[in-house]
Amino acid sequence: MSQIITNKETNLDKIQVGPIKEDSKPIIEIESDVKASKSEWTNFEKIIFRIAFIFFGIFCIPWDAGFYRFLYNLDYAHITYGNLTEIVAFFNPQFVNIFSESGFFGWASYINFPFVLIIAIIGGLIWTALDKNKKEYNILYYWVRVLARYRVAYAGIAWGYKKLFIMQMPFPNTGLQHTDFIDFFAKRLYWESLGIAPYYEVFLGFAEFLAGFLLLFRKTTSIGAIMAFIVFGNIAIANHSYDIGEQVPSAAMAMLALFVFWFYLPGIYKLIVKQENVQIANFYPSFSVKWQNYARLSVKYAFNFVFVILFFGLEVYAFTHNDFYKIPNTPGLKDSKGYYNVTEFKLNGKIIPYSPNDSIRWHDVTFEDWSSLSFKVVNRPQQIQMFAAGSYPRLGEVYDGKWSINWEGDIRRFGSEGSKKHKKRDPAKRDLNINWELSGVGNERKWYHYKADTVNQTLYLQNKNKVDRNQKQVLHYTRPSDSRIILWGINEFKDSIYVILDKENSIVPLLKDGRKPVPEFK
Amino acid sequence: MSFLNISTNPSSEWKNYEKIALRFFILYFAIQILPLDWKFYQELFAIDWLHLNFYDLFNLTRYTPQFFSLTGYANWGVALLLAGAGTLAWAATDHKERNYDTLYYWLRVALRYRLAIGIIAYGLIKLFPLQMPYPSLSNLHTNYGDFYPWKIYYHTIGITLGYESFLGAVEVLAGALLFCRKTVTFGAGLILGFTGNVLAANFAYDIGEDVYGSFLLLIAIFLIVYDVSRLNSLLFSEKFTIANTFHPSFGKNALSKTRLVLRTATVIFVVFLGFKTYSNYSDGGYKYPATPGLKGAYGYYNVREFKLNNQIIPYSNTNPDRWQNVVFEKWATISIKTAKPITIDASNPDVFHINDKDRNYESAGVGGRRYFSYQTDTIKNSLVLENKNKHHNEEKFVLYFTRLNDSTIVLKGINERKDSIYAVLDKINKKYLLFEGRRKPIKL
Repeated sequence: MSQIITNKETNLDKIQVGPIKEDSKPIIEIESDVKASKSEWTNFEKIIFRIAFIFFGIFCIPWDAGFYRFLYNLDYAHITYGNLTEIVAFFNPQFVNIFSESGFFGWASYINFPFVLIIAIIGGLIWTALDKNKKEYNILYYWVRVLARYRVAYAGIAWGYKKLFIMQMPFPNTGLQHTDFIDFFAKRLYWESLGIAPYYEVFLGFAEFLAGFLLLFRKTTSIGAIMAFIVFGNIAIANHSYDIGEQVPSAAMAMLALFVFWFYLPGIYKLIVKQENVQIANFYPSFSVKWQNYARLSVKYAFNFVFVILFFGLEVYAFTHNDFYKIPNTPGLKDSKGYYNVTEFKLNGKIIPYSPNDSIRWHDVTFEDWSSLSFKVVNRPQQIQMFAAGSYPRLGEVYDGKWSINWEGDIRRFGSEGSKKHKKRDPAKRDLNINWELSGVGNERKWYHYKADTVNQTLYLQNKNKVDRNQKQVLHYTRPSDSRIILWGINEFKDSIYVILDKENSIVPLLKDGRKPVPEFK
Repeated sequence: MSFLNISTNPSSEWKNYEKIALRFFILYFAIQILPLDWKFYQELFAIDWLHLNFYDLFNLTRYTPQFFSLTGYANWGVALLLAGAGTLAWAATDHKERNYDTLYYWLRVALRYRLAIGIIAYGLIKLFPLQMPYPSLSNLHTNYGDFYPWKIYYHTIGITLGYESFLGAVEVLAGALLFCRKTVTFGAGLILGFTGNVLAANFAYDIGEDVYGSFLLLIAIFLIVYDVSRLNSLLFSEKFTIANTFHPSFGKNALSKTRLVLRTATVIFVVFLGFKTYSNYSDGGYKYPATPGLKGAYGYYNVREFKLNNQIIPYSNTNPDRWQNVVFEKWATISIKTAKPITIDASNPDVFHINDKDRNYESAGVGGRRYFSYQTDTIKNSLVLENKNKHHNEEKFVLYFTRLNDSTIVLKGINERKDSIYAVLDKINKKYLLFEGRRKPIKL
């Protein structure tokens, strides 16, 4: 279907490696006009194309009813970078969910691919029966490739922006720096490993962005497509390796990128491997009717404006206005950020000495730049907070192996009719609702959001874990010195506590790398 | 330009400056890849061929010359100067007309094989996950902030050995593509993407292999340039594109025989390297010590009771003398957590040591715990501990152990200052998020 033109008369004599042959002459005459694309396709090509057209077409367009409800309910006057990400990042066709381990993390999670293929085969056969006289599908092939190109392009740009602006993987906070390596989800470790190297995150984001950006232009489509295939393919494999749970959208993008690249593959193969002269016959539809051309250009420019330029502007705005979706932005107690040892702890007036096995007495405390406080205790089980929740099993979702088929599409991500998803959230609760600090991290550190009343020197704390939001504390504070904070008041179990905290000033190796260069060949 | 070999002729026209550039590259790369450094032969002859270690072979694949004990890119500078001087000398002394296509071809052959062997060697230690082994139990019980960035990078890959194998397979594939003339561009392209990414990680995580990585990348760039303008013409300009017109033929002379011998030798070397790499992997890898640890002791222990000079020190996470917890590794290493400050061992992650005590992958690039190699005497029930960190190697313990039951060990003895130590260790059996929380909602 992708058509290439080769010139078979150019097989050259083998050249002696050694003295040059003096009689070798230029042999090739370049054909000047070989642009025309194939005017008649074989029956087999036509049938395959019809199936492929439906299959890849379905993968390029959102089918979820919830997606359109989400678009309808968007607050267009106050659109955010988060909204734009949600519009282009996901929406692979997902009508079937299998509730099993494999259905979320393994092969069974790809059930919608064969499902869509069956639809495409049925559709393709019906189409074949109805459309017998058509000689070629050059125009339709062009358009389905355009759809796939833009689908992958905007996804690449959106995911790229997330990393370019260091949103997706923020730097590990003080609490996490004081959590054992073994107390993280594997996928959280994957996230943090990128978070600690912001320049590397930007580098990866740039690769995603560039792949997407190159797909926006006809001439750079091939390089953009192969880059997107490699980047999204690698992400899909990393998703499997770390059980991240978002392998299906990534794999779908890699598949579409490969579909776009497919057009160029035979030409590249002939040129490089078979070493034959070649030209790839690109087909570009001509727009003779004026309004058609205007319509095409206005759609193109409108989409590019929203998903490339406006999106960029919104990201810059968020970046400069401290609006990182995973990080609270209420400032914390001034100059309190750090790791604190609990020098003294009184429970109902009685001193409790430190023990590594204690479930009530705090072991240590961290403050962040923002209004979050964490303290460590053990043997106090708590529901672990998830992340990447769209495709990760939720609390109460059991692996019963059942198939759930829903015509509304991916209701786990976009919500079903009448569900509260995408209703406007109370901005006052933004920071309480951001549970990135505790998502996929062990339960020994309890995370509290606090409101500080600096006049009366009081902190109103609330547990950030969704199932323990009823746990609240009211603690007064004094700061006798720069490094000491004294807290007293009522804890989450209505007991009175009195706590002396002393900031530890030891070096965190992660932040201060003292490595010296080492000679390599000794 | 002839470097790009765009020509309709079987032989291409070389402009004067191109000839000079080619001579320069030939000399430059000859200095960089031919084993001219006497240290190479020193290593080669130091190898005990009867007890050949995988790392001896691996190290040969990483050869780059070192001048006057310079480090890093400075060696590139010396090679540049030498090659520059050589180019001038060549121009002054040699006026014979040469076939530059052929010279270019042989330079590319040498670089292809050099790059292939280099990339495959690194691919093999990932395919058989040796380079980033699973984190040790001590490292697992270390705060995230106590690692150097390179160690985080290694451990993050180390916790999914399957992913590491996949990355290694990509490298091996890229190297294999270089062996075949017609797939060189694909191999070099893969390496550009892969090694380019690894190089970025080297800078970002301060891993310390960036000079060698840059060198491999440089070769890959040099190799792919050959086809770049052709691909540009085909894909960007969408023009009718002339394929490569240079086809070597080797005839049936000595050249052909030499070629066969070298190719066979390369294949044998690569297969043998793969075999040795695998056998090192199946023997437990080279990064962790090989001597097994105290039998049945493997685990993470809370220090329930601790006496220094017969004085009980209660639980404390600030007292520098108080042991907080102890890890017995599967091999003969113990790590102890105390609040005493540590000067971190800043060694390179990818080094090989014969002796267990020197195998410091577990203790390099990480703070928080103190690492001791130990020798067990099962008759006297004693352990002789030595700190593995060169900054703290004065720390030594002689400890006698009694095992009250499967999960309790009592250690009694003295440290290097003759202080007496007494510690009661309780093994902690609990569930960890790293193992439990992969695929389902969980309460811990």
